[in-house]
Amino acid sequence: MRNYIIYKLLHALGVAFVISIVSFILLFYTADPASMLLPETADAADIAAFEKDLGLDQPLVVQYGNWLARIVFEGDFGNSWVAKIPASDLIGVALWPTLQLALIAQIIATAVAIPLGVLSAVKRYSIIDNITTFIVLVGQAMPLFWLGIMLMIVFGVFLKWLPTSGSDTWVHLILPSITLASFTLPLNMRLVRSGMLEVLSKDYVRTARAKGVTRSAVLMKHAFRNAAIPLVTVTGMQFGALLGGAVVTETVFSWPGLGRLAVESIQVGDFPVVQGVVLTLSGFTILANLAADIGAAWIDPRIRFN
Amino acid sequence: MNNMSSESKLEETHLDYKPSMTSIVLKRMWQLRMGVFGFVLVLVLGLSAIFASQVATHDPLEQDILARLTPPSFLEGGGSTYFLGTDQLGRDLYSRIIYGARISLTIGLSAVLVSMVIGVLLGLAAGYFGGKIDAVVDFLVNAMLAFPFILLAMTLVIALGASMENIIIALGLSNWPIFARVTRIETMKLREQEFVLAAVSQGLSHVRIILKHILSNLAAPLLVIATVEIARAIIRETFLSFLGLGIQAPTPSWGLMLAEGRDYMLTIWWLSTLPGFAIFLAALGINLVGDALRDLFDPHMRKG
Amino acid sequence: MAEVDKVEPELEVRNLKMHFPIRAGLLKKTVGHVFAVDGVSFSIGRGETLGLVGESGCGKSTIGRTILRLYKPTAGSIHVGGKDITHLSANELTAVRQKMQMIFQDPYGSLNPRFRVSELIGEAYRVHSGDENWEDHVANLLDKVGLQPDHMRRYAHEFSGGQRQRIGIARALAMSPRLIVADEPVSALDVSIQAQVINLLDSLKDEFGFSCLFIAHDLSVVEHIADRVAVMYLGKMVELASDRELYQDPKHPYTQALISAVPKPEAGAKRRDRLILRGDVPSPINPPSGCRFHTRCPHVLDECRTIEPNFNEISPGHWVACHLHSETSA
Repeated sequence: MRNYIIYKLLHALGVAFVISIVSFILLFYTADPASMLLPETADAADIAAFEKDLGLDQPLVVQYGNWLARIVFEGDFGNSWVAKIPASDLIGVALWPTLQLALIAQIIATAVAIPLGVLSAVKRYSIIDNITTFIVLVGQAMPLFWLGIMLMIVFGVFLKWLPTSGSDTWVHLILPSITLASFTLPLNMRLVRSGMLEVLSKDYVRTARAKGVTRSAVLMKHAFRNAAIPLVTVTGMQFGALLGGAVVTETVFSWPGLGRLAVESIQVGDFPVVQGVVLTLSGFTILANLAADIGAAWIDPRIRFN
Repeated sequence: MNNMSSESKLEETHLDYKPSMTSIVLKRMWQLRMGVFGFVLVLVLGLSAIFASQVATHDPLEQDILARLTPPSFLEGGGSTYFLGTDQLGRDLYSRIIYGARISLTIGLSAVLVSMVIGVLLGLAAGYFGGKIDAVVDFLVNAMLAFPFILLAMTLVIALGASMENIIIALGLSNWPIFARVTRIETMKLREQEFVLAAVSQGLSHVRIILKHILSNLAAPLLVIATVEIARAIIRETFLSFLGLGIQAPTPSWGLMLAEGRDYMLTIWWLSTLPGFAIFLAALGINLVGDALRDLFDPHMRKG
Repeated sequence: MAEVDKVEPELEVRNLKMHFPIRAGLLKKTVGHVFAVDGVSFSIGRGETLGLVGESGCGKSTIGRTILRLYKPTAGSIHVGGKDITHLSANELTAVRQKMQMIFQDPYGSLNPRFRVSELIGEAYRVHSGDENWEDHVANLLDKVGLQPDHMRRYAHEFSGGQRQRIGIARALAMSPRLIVADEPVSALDVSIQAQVINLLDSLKDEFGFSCLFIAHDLSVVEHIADRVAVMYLGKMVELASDRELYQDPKHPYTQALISAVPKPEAGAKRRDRLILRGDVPSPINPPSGCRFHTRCPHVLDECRTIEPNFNEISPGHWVACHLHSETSA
């Protein structure tokens, strides 16, 4: 088990490394700090001096090294070219709202998915089963931002029950989190349902039933625990997708999180911030994947060595 | 309809009540109906895209400022000239939606094509030859999957500039890991099959084995995945356009129309709702067809 | 007593070893080996059929695959038609491969579900010979294996298990090989079909004149078709003799146990005492010292535990690896 953890840690570090290289290169070739930060009257000499100042005339690898060192040892992502304050400040402020949104959304999604998934597996062909199937179908085809806009229109404009932007109170959290929850809900429901179905038809469950164990006892003890494993793994792995969905949701609802920050920064070309956000989001995704992998191996010892 | 795959037979053995024949039949009919429905939707989508000029009522770019913000004909205030009303520049919403289908479908198909070519080639190489190639590809796939897709696509579009070709490239380059991963796993499974061993023992070249024996068995799962990815690509393109990073005005992209209509949400709600509904229907249709394909292939593959 | 052809044998295997490394852990270190085949020598003459019998895990399938160079041998040599193929590269093997073919055990996994029967049988022939009329050749083969030639447009899943094996046989014959390795070709078939397929192979063998290594786990299967029979146990060959001699006068205790297990529903036949072996088959990862069979042998001697018996020819054409029969034992 310990070896497995070490292996996964190394792997995660490797992935983080690759991502840092990719994001560095991508932005290196697209960024144009000179035109952003210097006044329009700057001439070639000014630009050259400016670039030397920022260390942009050095070889690529050296720049990468410096950049990486600054981030790892000092947490310094550079200054925002737009706001002129450290990018890490902007990121720090935006971090919690995103985490908040993602966590609440995931909780909602899981809380809805588990009962519905279990019920639809246990009572096949019932109304519940059909409703679940319907939700899965619709949910997977639903463009996230359209759903957000529709919810805004219905609840915010027509019914005027809920606010549509801003983040002052918990009420503001409702629409965005429901929107985001609908993003992962279909997959979670499908997983719970198929996990339950697979286990319920297994021989050892039928043996337990034959021995007279009551139905709900069987359900809870045997079936659910085994069906939960894929749910755990996928939740962790879905975290990346969840963050992606957060980007969309935050944009639609003007929720002050990392997603909105990223989008706005990309649109204006504020690359230090973009890099910082990309690294932060990727970092969380990697951590979530790691936790899911280790968690799954802990629950199911067979996973440990492929 | 032989959708009773062995999996669904399994599923029923745990029930301690007998679901009535009616409810079983209803569910199967429902599944069949959904498949047909999906097919119809996709057909409408495809035909609109191809025959846009015949199906649309107006030129999507033509502006009629005097008639701007006309409601759809089924609402009060709507006329008969503009079936779904007009947007803020007086352009016919219906025609723009029809032409938008062409854009969405083109981008969706092309982007998936790009992803598939890259992903399948890498997956085949990794799964068949194993060893170092496999280690590298597997690692790359995992690394790219950790990257938030949206941001990757967005950054690429910025880097390349916002145009239809560049969106296709950006979406295609961001999504190949999905195909690579599936191809790799399936290839590894197929490689162990005896008919591959038989082909080796007959002195057939690796290239031939990969392209004829393995690829022919990959077509089915890849097709299923491709349909899902086409729907996702369409949705992603609309999001990029929504952010202004995609198709540029005045070309009618559904995402762009959603963005443009956002400012008028309070009163002119149909400007955003209707294009969004089109996106939803397109994605739904494609997903349903994908599900139907999956059910279709499953029992067949089990037989073989 | 079968006489091995005085001309060069079709297949000659000397001291063949096939060890598979077992990898575990983080860095995929080799932590042990599966000694699947551990020093086996035999030859097959032109047109001869050698039956190779043993329990699961004894290495018989591995031998078959190694001979066809689907694996690279760990040690030893393989000569086919006089040519040493032990170390040939994949390219060099292409030519040789056309002359040695395999019939697989699983009628379902060994045929590509996406191919039509004509392609299944004729693909290699078409590629290697470039013959435009390859389909005629396929039709001819189908006829020879007892199937209808106009079924060639069909797909494999439209046929039964026995018919699929016939397709597999036709495929093996397509390039007129000189050596065919039949890896348990009837094990997956119903008993009633087994006889049909074995008879088919028997008559084809006479007609086409190929040599055959017929691998099976059941002695009764090879009795009819084999000229000579070899018995394997845990990676080693323990006995080799002509068909008749093996059944009438088995020398190795393991062979005796196998033969006693074969039901003989003949009226008036002597009722042989069943020789029940003690214990389980040891693992090929950690085989017993000395004679590998000593842990289960009813006649075990002291030296069996420490000294490995040689594979000796104790009478013309009859080879045994057993201390009970070697000159060096007391």
